[in-house]
Amino acid sequence: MEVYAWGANSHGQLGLGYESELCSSPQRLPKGSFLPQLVRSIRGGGGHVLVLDSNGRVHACGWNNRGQLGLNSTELCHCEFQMVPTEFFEEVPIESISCGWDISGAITVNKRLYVWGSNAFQQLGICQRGFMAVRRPMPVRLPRDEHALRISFGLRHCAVLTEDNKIYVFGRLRIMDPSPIELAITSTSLNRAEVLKIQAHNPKELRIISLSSGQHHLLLKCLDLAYGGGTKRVVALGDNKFGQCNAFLFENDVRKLAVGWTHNAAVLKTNEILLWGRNCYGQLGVGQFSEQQALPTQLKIAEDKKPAAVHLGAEHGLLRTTTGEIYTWGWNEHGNCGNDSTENLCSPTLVKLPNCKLAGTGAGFCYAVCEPQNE
Amino acid sequence: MSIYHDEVEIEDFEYDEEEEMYYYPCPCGDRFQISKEELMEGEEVATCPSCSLIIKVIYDPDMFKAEEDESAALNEKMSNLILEKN
Repeated sequence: MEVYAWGANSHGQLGLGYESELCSSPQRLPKGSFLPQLVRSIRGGGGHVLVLDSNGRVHACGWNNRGQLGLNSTELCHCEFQMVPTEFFEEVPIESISCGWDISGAITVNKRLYVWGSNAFQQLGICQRGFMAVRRPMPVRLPRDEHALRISFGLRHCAVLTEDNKIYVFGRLRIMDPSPIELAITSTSLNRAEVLKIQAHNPKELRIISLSSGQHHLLLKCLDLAYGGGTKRVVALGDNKFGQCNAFLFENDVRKLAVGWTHNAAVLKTNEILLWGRNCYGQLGVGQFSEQQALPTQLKIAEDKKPAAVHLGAEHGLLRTTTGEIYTWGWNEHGNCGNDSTENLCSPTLVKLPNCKLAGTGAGFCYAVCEPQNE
Repeated sequence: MSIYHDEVEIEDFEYDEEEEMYYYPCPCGDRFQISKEELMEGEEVATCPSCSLIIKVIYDPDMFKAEEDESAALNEKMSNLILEKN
């Protein structure tokens, strides 16, 4: 197995051992702190990356101006992967990871939440002098010691889904009026920081089961208990400058949501891939450029290509198919699409890579773990 | 496609007091920047050192002019004080 990365590399976030403006085609990573065959997930932030391996260990690389790598280092950048010491998580393995602009987070297998990086907008959920940035994972105790299920970061907010289907939002997320009718939103306080508490008005009818953050908006995947338990409903909060905050009741169950800075993708159980939001750089991959698409529109891809996963960067997108192919589209100034060009792409384009098993994106870059056939 | 990637209010920028520079995240992973000096001169375009995208800064030029006048007035006062001392 090999790891490949491409796109913006101004902070060494491609893990190649050097910084550069761009890499417009997939580059093979040198041996790092993790084994490629053990990679479980890859998440990218503005200029940094986290890798989670199957032993529950976290590896980090890239920009570290706010300590977002969690290595307790004051270096501005780390161009090669290093493992975040397990003692920072009290030796408990990590189950999931997430990255924001200059912030990172992880949830342990026993559902404890850790966050680190910038706290300029109190997005770490703490309001205290000397906490402008935190350079190593900091445990966050939610009210009543609730367990954390999922975490997602926007540009300046951190949203945490708890085991009892509530959401806490730390930092700055402006919710436009009127807020979604399905939700009760209240303000509360945690570590002297103001946080938002979001829950379904009627938990017997609607249950929030997943969340994804954009730059200044948040999408929630909901389970409709009143309508036979489907997951057709997507609720949205936040900025709607480009229609990215339009909410929908889909015709079929939503399997997965992916959110870029100002655009979204919903992968349905029927394998349809629908995108909406900003499209000026072709970031919706629908075959044409336009200012925005208010309604979910199908990704322009052959019908026999089934999605294994969709990942969205700030202004680009990546589809991994069940047969191990990678397609990319959208903003391409830094070779974000990895097709040896810097022209923006409004249609998904095949990336020259062997059999891909797993992928991930950050603001202006992509990662893929591939298994080359015996040569 | 508009020439600006976005329009952002000055309050939404992060200010670095040491560098006297305002920063806002750019989708390439670097940051749009504009200096306090440029704002005082009436500049309204913040640029990113790593890419071609630009954003328009929404601000009240009078705010920065006023600040400039204030510091000029302060400097004048200071020099008067020094003169008086002498």
